[in-house]
Amino acid sequence: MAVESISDAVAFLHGPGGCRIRHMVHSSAVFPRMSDPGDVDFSWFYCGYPRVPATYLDEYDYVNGGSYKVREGLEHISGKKPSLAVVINSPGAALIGDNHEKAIADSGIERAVFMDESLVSMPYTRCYAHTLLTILKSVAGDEHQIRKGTAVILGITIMDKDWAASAEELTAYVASMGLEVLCIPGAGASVEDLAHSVEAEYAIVVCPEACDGLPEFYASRGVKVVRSPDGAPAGLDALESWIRAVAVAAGRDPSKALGAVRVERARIRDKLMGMRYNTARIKGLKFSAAGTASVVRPLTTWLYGYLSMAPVAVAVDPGEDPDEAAALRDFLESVDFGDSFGREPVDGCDVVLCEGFTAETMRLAGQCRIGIPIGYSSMGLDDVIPRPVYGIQGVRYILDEILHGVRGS
Amino acid sequence: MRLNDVGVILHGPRSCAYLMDSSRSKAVLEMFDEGLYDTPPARNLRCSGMDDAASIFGGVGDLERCIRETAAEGYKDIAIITTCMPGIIGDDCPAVIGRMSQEYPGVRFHYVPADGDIAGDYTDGFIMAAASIAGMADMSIPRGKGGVNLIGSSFFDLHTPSQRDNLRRVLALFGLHEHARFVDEGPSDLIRRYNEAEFDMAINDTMATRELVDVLRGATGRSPELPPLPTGLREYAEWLREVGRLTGRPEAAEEEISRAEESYRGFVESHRARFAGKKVMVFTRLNMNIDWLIDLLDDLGAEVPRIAFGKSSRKRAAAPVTRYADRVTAEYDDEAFNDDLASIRPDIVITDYPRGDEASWRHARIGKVGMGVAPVLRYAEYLEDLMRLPAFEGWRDLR
Repeated sequence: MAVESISDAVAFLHGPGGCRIRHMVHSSAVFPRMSDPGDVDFSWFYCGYPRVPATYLDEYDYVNGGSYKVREGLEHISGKKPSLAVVINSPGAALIGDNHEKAIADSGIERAVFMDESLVSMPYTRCYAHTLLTILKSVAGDEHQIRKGTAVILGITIMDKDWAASAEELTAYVASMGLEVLCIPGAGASVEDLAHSVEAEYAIVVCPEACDGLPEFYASRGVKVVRSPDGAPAGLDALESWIRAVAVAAGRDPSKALGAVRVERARIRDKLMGMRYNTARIKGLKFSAAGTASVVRPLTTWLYGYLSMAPVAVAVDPGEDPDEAAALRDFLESVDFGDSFGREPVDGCDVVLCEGFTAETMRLAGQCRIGIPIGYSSMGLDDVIPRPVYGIQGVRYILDEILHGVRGS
Repeated sequence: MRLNDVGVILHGPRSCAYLMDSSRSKAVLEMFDEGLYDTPPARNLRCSGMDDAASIFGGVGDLERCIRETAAEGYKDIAIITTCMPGIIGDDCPAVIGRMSQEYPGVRFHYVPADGDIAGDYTDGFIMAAASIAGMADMSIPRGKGGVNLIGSSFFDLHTPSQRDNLRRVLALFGLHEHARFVDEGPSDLIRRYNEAEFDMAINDTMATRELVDVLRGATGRSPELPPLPTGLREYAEWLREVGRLTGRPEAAEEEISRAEESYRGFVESHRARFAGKKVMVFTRLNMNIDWLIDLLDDLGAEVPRIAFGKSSRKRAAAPVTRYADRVTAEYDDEAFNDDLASIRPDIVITDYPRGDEASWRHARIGKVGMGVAPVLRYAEYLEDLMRLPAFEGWRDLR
């Protein structure tokens, strides 16, 4: 999916067709890059679907090798002139030792790399960031000049809920401070964007786990890394903190961005005051939260402080940023909810915030009243109104779900 | 995974479990949300989490750990499905299961050595799992009266409340009721009591369901007595008469047939004008039995110059099941489709295969419609409406 996040790159899966299905469907759902509708590819590698071509490895190939399919596939893909093709092995394909370097050379494709390491069963965020880093190292030139007044935003992935809406909103805040956002590596940047991304003056981190290793890379290229002390911009408090961190680091005026947050605070206050009876049902609700540490932490503190909701189970996904996880644990201890840390979503709590299928399953099973998807699987791929987790839009989304959920309670 | 009290262990990488779970979950949770099932959804998939180290040192330790964790959750049935990795590195899963069986004598283990796609394609893996599930049936339980087992590779024919309720209504005409579904979402208890049912019935007549019927015959000795779930007037009437004969209630059958015939004939008469002479192409990749559609189009006076069965990307060959073998084109591909579009110039193409270039030809979706006559007539209305609506939705035009 990291490759699919690059607007003019192709992820070429060396593996069985079954491994392709979910990726190709999800990829076109979250980052549609529709070419000419008449240009439908019915080759062996695409089978009529435009994303994530695959070699459709089978039992014959496991025994005899599937390199010929990689070569033939790359020959075919090269006809579409992608800026970059990235060969990725399925776990099974990684074991058979096909020589991708040779296949790439033999295919004649202009620009292709392959993922050498097997990242089997590693945390999603770490794998996403690692893939992006591998590509960056391959495309970013060594010689470059830092462009003053520019920035890249790191740590948004196309697996994030309504990532494009988050990207747009966060970019707007940065731009309001007079910084030009060159691109968002991992969320819609092109190969050329990535190549020039090292010219940015600042690299602004949104979610540290999702850009693991990237800040260090950019720092090694002379880019100043900016990271909020309060985690990802999820919830109003963390959003303000994120905006201030950028402003302080860049010596810029955050008043326009903070003004937008202030207006939103007033708007929400009016809404909650006006819905007084339903609002009263929110205070004291128990919630479970599970997900990326730098997202769960600010959401937890925000729900606790802003809505007076009780954290009964708070868990962080593998690959957690240790500082974020430690800060989360310390916070829960400080407010006498320390025993909730490390607990997966519990049966019987009022609100569950976690990846979408678990949240929905728990709601349907009567294990919670309100299930709010905040993670990488989501029932909401078909939302027309964006409902991301970050920013003001994220705040509205979560408040909507909670206010709607307490109807009739 | 459809059996909510079976712990399903995927022996392989976490990403494979993610793919398995997420590919299924959305569709299934939507059905639970519609109230189609009496039991809540379960999260019964577990994963041994094989990593890079396992490819060198083996994954049996991961599998053992996962089995112990799953057994500790209280599962009395645990299925182990293998992915490509353990198949390639040669993990001795039967030996692990043998040891775990000694350690957990109260747990029944079900081994499905799919090895990803090494043992075969999607259908092969499905049948392998089905064979394992069929083995759960307790054949010492005697046959009862009135129950009907439903057999199907999928139950989309019944995946709306109205379709489910209609089946129940029609079965009740003959003093029958649903017993077990092989295999749909729910507890394994009904599978164990499979033999309690008086009759068996296939949910549709596709190659995949026929393979399931074979599996069940092998495991239980039972074969479907009732014809497959009927779609369209002809099949419905035949089905009703057969069920009436088997249950000794022929008069109930004739009454229902009369009602259905009147409804069907009346509809066809009043809607024929919009279909007469229209050129309709049919192209299915899901290889469903679409005889009801051919009957309907013929009855409505449409011309049907092409009835094509193509191969899904996950299958080895097209496998049409039809009374109209002399009219269908099997192993149809996209190149032939493009040629037909140019030469036949159809008024509408009915297909279950969204190609992405529908801006250049008028098309209608087709899926599982359900039992009897009413869903077929609703489908005909859908076609009729599509032929009066703009061929191409406005959103496709970016001007």
